[in-house]
Amino acid sequence: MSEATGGGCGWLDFDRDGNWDLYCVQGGAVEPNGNSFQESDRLFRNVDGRFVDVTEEVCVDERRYSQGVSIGDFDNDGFDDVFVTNIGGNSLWRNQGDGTFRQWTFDSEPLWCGWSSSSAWADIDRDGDLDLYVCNYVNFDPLNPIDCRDAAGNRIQCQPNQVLPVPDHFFRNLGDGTFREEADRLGLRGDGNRALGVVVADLVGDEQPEIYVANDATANFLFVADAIGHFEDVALRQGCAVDANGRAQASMGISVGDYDRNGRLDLYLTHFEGEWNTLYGNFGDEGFRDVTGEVGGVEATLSRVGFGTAWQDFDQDGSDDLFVANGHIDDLGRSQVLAMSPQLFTISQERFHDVSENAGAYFRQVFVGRGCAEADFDGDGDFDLAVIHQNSAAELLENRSERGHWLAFDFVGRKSNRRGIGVRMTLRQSNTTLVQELYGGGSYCSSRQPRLIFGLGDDAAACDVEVRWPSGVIQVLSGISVDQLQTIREPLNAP
Amino acid sequence: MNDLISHSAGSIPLPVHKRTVWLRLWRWLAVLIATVIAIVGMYFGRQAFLARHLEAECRRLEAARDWPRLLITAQEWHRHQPHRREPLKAGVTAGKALRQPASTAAFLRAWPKESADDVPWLSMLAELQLDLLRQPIEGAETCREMIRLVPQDLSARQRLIFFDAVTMQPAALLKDVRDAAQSACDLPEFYVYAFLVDGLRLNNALERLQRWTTPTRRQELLMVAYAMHSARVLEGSIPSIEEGRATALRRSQEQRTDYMQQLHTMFPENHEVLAYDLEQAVQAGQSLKVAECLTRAKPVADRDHRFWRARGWLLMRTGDLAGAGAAFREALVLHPMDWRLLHFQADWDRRSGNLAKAEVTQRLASRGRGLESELLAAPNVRLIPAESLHRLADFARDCGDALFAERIRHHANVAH
Repeated sequence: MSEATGGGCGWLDFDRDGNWDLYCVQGGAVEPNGNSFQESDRLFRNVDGRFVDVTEEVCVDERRYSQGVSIGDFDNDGFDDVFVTNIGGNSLWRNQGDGTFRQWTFDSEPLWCGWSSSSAWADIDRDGDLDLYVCNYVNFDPLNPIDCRDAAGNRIQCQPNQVLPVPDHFFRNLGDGTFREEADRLGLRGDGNRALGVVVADLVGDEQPEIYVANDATANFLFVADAIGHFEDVALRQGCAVDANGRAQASMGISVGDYDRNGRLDLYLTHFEGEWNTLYGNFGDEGFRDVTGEVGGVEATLSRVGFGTAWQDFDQDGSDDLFVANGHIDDLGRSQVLAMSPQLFTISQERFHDVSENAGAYFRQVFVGRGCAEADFDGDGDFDLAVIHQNSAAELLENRSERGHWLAFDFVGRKSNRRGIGVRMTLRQSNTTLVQELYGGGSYCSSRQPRLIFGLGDDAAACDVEVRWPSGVIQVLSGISVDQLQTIREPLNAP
Repeated sequence: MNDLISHSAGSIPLPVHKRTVWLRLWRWLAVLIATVIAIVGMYFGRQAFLARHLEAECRRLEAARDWPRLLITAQEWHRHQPHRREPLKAGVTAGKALRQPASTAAFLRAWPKESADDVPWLSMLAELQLDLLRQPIEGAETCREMIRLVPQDLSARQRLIFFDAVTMQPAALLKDVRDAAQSACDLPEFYVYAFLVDGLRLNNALERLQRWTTPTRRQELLMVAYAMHSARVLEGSIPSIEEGRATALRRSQEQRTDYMQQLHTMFPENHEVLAYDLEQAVQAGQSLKVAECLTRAKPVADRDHRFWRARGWLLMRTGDLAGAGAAFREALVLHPMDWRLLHFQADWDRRSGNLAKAEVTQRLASRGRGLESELLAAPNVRLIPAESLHRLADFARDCGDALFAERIRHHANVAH
């Protein structure tokens, strides 16, 4: 069962040279301490567009059975750190700032030896540093696998509902390099926890981070905090727990965007074959609603098993696009469905259009796709993609679209976390208002570049932006010319 | 003499020849009447004689176990005395002894349906129709007659509701179960059938339908039900490791598509086929297709909760919240324990800005969904554990169905 779910990748600029490097997880041994005969995860340094394997040089030695990775500067020292989810114990690799990493222990916590999947860095307690939410999948020990059988007594690959759920973890960053697990204390608990994906974003418009968790075959969670920071799962209340037919889907990856330009963040979730990838539209006071049918997004994804997903305006024409990495989980070599073609959709006038055929040769091939993450790795102002596949090499997709105008933003938090994860930006240009958030987590077992890029289409007019930092600081910038990357620093003297 | 008559009449005296004619006429009439009476008397006498003879003959033949002749004699006796039960009884005895279900059923079909005493004979007929004779539709009708005569006939209700379930008639099933509940003449499985009505998968349904569907009597109802059950069995099948989940899903999908295509070709106007299309369209969020299906619906759809549910869904999509609410209310009257409807209702609550109510409704819908999975996983509908029945009773109560809640609770307590 455990072979089916990994892996992912994460973008980081570990050496702060301005080029975005790539961390790729690796399957391996399932023993808690890894196996020295197995390959380690790999870190590829971006040297002006060429990627060089520097794993050994940077002292990353991660030989467990890795599933996913998330990048976050947990100690706010300006250097991206790496958290790796594994089967048999997760790892935090602290970037020491000298070009090397050191494995960091979660001092006060017992080592979690289970099966983790996606994770997300986000400043959930709003104290200025990044906390960590870790999705745990199921209670399954690959060294002593449970015996799953069908009604006739035949051994079968375990289905999610045949394996016990396990609760997720939330590690509060105490600010001194240590973490404390507080999921229970904060109410971050839900029934049937079989988590595979997570995002942390302001999803209900309360200017606080909410945690949305994608569960496999059980209802998804939306954890919303009250005034004292205690969370409650309100996914059923808000209408984003189950699909339009009231069924819990086998949810994997998540991406976030604003498909109807109403200024509220919508959720896109990837699912198993026979279930569509679901778009939960966010209607504010009316909660969420599965609008997949309304936007014409059902048919195109029913026959796929979606994992990683990225929601960006890749061609910067003013219409958002959605990338989905597809690939089945079980195929015993007797059918031809394990590998599947990836998909690219564009969202135009609140309708989905499958544009995969015109998106390049990559989209005409089949892969066993898993995690994916976007980054502008060639520095040309648009998002490119890294996609992880099982049984074949990872792919870097350079974005060569005919593009419209654009504006890109990096963030430097000062009261807030260093990378500005959790920043919400409202951009106004002519009669258009666009909202994006540098949300935590997302996709599947992967971590994107912490940058916001707005596609502006034909409009070259200067833009005004309002930045709401996780600290609560509001920053307004006016008359920003298009087609440039801006680095926005959080003001210290703002209220 | 003539003077005397004329004086006593005191009016216009009849002429002599006319009086004579009248007297003759009266005489002839009296003779005629006497003759008719005699003939009729003779006829009835002969009939009575014949009947007595046939009755005696039947008794003799029965005692002699001469079943073939008893069958013929009973038929003759029934012709002579069609309203009497004895000839029918003799015929049934002969038919049974000869193991001729068709002959037996012929006598039973003629059995009067007047009182509770007739029910055992109708029960025999129903059994034959639902089993050996492969006449399930007639069998169901017989069960209805039995229930009309004796509302407490549990066996008839059981057969009828099983028939409704196997033949996939949700509206009839829900109505018959409610009727049974109102009569407090029920079994726990009735409520399981009712609750699962939109996703019912019966282990023995295909076998039963196959038996019922004869080459000469390929009734639409049975063929559609067969295809529907096949589709649902495929949907719920667990793949073997050799096949793999992906392949199994695909095969299942292809086969289901095949079944439905055949049905569309053969029975384009069938209500259940239309309901299937409607459900598929709602599930896929296809508003236009839903609207088209609803326009094709026949009046029978007004008694089908699925059509009201779909109507509400469509109206909600078009922004007609009031219309949608009214449609959902209609659906709830027909099937208060419909968790799919509750899910839509939760969406309706959200769109009405009532998130707190939406949560309550959604939680209830999720409970229903969970219960559905739990009950579908049971190996046999008659072996539902008491705990599950208690949960079903709770669900019925929370859905506002006090009658079902009370009856299910009763059975759960008995099961304990």
